[in-house]
Amino acid sequence: MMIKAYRFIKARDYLMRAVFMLCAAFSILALACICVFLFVSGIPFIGRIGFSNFFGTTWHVDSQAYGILSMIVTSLYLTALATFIGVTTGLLTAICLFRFCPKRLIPSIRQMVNLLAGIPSVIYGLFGLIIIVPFLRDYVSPNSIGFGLLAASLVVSIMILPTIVSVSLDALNAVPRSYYEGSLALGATSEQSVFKVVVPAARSGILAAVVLAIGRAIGETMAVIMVIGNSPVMPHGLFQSVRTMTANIALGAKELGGDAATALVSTGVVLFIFTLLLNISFNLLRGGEKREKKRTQKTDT
Amino acid sequence: MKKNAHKRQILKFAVLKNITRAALLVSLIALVSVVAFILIRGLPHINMQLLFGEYTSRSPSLLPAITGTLYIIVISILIAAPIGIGSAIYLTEYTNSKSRLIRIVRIAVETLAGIPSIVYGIFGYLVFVVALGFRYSLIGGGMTLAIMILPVIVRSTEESLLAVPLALREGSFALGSSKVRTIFSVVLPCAASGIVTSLILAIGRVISESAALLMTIGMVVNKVPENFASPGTSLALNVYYFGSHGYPEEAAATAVVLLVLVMSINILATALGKFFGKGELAHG
Amino acid sequence: MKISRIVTVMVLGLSLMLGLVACGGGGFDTSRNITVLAREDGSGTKSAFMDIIGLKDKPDPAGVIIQPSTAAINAEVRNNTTAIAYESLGFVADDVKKLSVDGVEPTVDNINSGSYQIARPLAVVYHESSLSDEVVKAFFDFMQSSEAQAIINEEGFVPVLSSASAYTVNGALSGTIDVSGSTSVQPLMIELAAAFEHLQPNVSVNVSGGGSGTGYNNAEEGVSDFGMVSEVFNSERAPSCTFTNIARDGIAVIVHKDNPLTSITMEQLRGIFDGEAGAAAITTWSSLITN
Repeated sequence: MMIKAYRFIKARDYLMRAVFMLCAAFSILALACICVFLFVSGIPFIGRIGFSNFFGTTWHVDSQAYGILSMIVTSLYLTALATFIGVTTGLLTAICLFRFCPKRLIPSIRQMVNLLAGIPSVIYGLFGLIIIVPFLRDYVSPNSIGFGLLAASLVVSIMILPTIVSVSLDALNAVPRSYYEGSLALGATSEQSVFKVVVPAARSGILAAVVLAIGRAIGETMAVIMVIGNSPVMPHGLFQSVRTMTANIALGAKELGGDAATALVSTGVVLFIFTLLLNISFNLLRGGEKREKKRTQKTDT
Repeated sequence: MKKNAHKRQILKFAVLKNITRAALLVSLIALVSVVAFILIRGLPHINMQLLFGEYTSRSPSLLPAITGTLYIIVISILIAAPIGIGSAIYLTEYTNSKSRLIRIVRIAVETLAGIPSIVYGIFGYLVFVVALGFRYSLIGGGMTLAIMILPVIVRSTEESLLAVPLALREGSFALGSSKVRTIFSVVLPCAASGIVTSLILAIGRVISESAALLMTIGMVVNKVPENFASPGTSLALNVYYFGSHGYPEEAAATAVVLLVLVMSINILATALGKFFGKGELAHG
Repeated sequence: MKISRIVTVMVLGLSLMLGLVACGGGGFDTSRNITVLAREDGSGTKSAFMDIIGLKDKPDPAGVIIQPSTAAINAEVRNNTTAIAYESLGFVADDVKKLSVDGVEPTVDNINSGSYQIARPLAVVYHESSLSDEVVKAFFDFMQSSEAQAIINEEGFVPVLSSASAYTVNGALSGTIDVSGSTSVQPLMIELAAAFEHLQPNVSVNVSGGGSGTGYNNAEEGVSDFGMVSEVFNSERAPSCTFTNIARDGIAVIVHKDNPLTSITMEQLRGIFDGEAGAAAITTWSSLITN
């Protein structure tokens, strides 16, 4: 009797373990599926229409020109610009919240920032469309075009701001207090201690914030498509209608069929490879730093 | 000479300090103005017809979007929650078994978290809409989002499982409980609040998502979906549709609804986290 | 203190933004660059327009602003003094200015007589088999009835049927019909649907946009009962479907109301909308407006 019960329990343990393992394996399976489906439909197409066509500068569906180089360049420009604006402002904000702002304000601002981090990107896009684009068009742009890289960069940088503030503030707070106090004890001013000691000590966490920002900026679709103008040309200025890879995919998603639809999948493959490279290089960088057990990186993308 | 340089450095950092204050101000203004403008533009246009009326092209309604959003939440959470919690249990409770597999799972979860949502959209389109023949449907969209929120659930569930003291497990084993029994009657109940919080955060992600749904559910804004297999729309998608199809007031009003929804979900998650004394989990 | 500070910050920020947005501009500066707006690939209005002005398969000029719907085009032209765009004539209201092309005004009469050349059919695309559904068939008949022709006329479109009979109401009819596609046809279809629902209270007709490409795809895949397209039916894009033209519609060239320009030539249009015009490209308003 006892042995039977014991066997049952043992069997149940094995069974559940297998079930949990399957669950865990699902992520691997999902990732593999994503890779396989994207690559199988996207890569042969690039081969078929030719490498130079696909990485050319002309996207013109009617004449079978599916060049996405201009979109790659635009995506990179947008990412660089938005990350630069977002990270600079966000990091400085986090430093201010860390030590240079009235203590009473910190909890409420933090809470607000955390709440804002959850705002859907499409709302930032709408804000861009009804506020930023008309504003740039009427008061800033030299050529009456509000759409373009600047509008998109502003929208995306506002969008990633709460995440950057939140993550870098966590990183600053994770630096042992003794670093700051030690620096003070050696005669440094509070500002010196923060900028010269605490910030450098938090650099791996700040790096995580930057990578997160880059990932969100390069992958952002809806906020960008509403404000960037979507002309498939090389970017030459801030006030010029251009198109990112993400916008290309979303814009054509329901309107195009046949080869053009496959070209969108191939665009997705390129975007996917970019994000994979980003992840890998970040992991290498992080691996290069001391292997900390504590995961400072947060789950937002 | 040296003293002068020292003074200059002190001055430089004092200036920098004020720059950080300016940055704080800029950030707050930018973020507050987003919310404020959406509220100013949208609030006057919220009414019963918009929220729950019958959709006509003259006076659009959000009923199809609200229904669609609910469908998608249900589908994606039903799929992702068991799998995500299961993975988290495997990652925390069976660490000593095949660690190689666990490392690969970790890498897979991290990578999934980093994939842009539009790429999930393409994947969902290729697999569910085309290959499996679901066409544009809520179920296809829900399944796509299930994969997308999996990393969120795995990571935060893992954190709350790790927060359960080892002593509780050891105590349970000492009393003769099996591993499965320990997991289900000791570890999971202890981590329940954290897991619930993680699910709420995942729901927030689902509600916010638009790009992946654009490619998978069809953006049919005018019809209340009949079942899981119908094409449909979501609130976030409606903001885009209204915004770019000549309904700016409705777009802003929809954005307000979405904003309120997402904010209350985040507040709920934070409050739950606080209530159970695990505030850390709430900042996702 | 804490709250008052936050409030001050908010008020400051808001008043700054509001103040900047609220001001307006005036006058027309011909030295400005022309802001060219266009529709996305797949749009029927786009392919019809480019086709008729002689730019078939030509790319858009570099840097056009691409808008995904007729309404979005209209909204941008309404607010942007330097913009030029093309959109469904039936959609044009008083908030923008339509230009004569080669001296011919875009009116229903001129389209009828053929003197205004930039016009295309508006069609519904459907599977022949779906007409076996009596609700779908009833709406199909209605679109060709004399009632529908009157609405088409009223909305500023050109009827294509010279003789149409009145629609006979079938009291027992109930069900839903889904129509999607071209945003040029959409406003007309909404009126037709409303009139039909008035005659047949138990039938609801859902009309949604997306563009002609969406119309073809949705009809082909059976997602919608009717796909709306605003160009000459292209069987390659929905091979298993057939079509019926329900009206003709002009494509108006529109500019901002403050723009002094009233007329434009085909040659000039090609200079503006051709991405490969080279030296013939027209990029500033001073090349069009001389005084």
